[in-house]
Amino acid sequence: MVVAGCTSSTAPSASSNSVTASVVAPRPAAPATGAQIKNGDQPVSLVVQNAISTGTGTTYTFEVSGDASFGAKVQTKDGVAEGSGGQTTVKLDSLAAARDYYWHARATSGGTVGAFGPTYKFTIGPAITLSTPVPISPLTNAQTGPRPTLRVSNVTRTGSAGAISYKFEIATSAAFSTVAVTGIVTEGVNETGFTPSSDLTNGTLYFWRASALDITNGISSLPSSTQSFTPVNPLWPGALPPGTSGHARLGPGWAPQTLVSFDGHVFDSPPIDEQRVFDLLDRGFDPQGALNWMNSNGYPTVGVYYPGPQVIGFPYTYMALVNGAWELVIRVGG
Amino acid sequence: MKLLVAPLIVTLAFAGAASAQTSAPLRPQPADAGYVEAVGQAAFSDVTSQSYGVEAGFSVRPHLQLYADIGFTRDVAPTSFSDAAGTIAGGLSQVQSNVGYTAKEPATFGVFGIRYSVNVAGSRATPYLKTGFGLAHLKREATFTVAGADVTANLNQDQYGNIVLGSDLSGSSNKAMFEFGGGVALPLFSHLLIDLQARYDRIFADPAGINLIRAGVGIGVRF
Repeated sequence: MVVAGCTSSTAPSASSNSVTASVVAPRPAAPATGAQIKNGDQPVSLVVQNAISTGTGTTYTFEVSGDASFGAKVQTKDGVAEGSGGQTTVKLDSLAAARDYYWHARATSGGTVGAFGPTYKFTIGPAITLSTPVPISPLTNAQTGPRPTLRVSNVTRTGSAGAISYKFEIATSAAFSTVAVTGIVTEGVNETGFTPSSDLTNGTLYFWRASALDITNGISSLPSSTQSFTPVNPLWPGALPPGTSGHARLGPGWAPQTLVSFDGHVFDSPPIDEQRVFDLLDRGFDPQGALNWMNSNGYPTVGVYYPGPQVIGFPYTYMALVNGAWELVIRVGG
Repeated sequence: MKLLVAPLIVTLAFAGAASAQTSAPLRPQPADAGYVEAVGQAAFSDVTSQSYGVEAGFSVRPHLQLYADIGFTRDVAPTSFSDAAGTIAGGLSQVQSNVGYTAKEPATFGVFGIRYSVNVAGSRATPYLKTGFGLAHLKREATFTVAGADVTANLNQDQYGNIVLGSDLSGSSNKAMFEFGGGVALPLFSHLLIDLQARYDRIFADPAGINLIRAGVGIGVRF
């Protein structure tokens, strides 16, 4: 046999291209088969790894069915343009809750309608609705302590809701653009409350609201109506004295209690004036300085300091410095 | 392309020189009524292959013969064919390991045309040129294997990637074919001849035409 030293090459044909492409089906990427999707997370997006084709102009068809044999198709998305980055995504219309769905996709390219790829399954969770929590307290413009307990009435729910929690938000703006404190607490009996774990700033106007959460099913209610409050220091609702604590020590007699004075007057012990004086002593004031500061800063008091026995007298009690600690003693006579 | 026509130029030069040395009028030789030969050739397209077939002709005028060339080339697959098969094999390898593939495009053809021969004074060799048209039957044979097992027939299954082969990798088609060539016929003894030959074929295939060079030898008889 004679072999000639020749080369050759193919060249474009003048005839029309009647060749059809070969197509490897797209492969499902998300949601993963068996995925549980919360009803509230709809709409569902189906994602496939792009098909492989020897042709161009690839488009995709997605089918979603209520049965694995696709005899009960519920949605078909046809002519979906191929996505970039190796994946193509289509967003489904809303699907009925609490049902299983099966889906697959195929590609059409270069005149060839490809085969459908593997079938994947996902489940849409139950439809659950939660009513809006109703604030109980503090209501708008309330004055509170530095750690007020925020209370809402429990929500009503429809569907097979899971355990309900409540998310409380405390912010310095009504728009909640700056949230100071957030807390999630489990539902109480009839009502649910939340107490901040640290003091809020006295004199600052705060806004708060609460939302109910079904974390299991990913459901949340609308937030409650916004309420406001201002924390105030019960000792010093006005001017705040200087100094830091740690300069005085409490002795006996300061336990909260309701007492009757020697002249029959019922009062809560310890009285506010005595609490303020001790707080000033604890901040480093001397006894007379403490009384003077109160009288000159809007906290008038009738307390009198007796330097000899180190006693500060009040109408029904007196404070006595005994062994380095300030005891609160009930007066037995006028 | 220069290399492609080189054998033909050699043949033409040989024929031209012979014609210039001929003083006698052209006429059919006693044994020029016709011929039949079997041919075997090396075939060159985007791939190198082999071709074989049968060629026969009969004289209609002095030095002019009608001929038929029927043959089979084992593979004329263009590069694009192999590339497409590789692309699909790549898809198959996403779901299977140890994937292999082959891509062949055999052509069966029949060409009818005219052959012009010249006598060479003082030589028994008879150079000739020929051209013709015909039909080529192209069969696209892409096969895919997994661990050595042919899975081409099962490519549409999930486990093999739900692959659909288009007509670029499967099926067959009939396409027009043009042939031009030349050679030198040498009588051996009695009616036996040997034909050193080269052919250029153009198969008008989709999506691109195929250029095919065949060069080889034919052995036959003339009558």
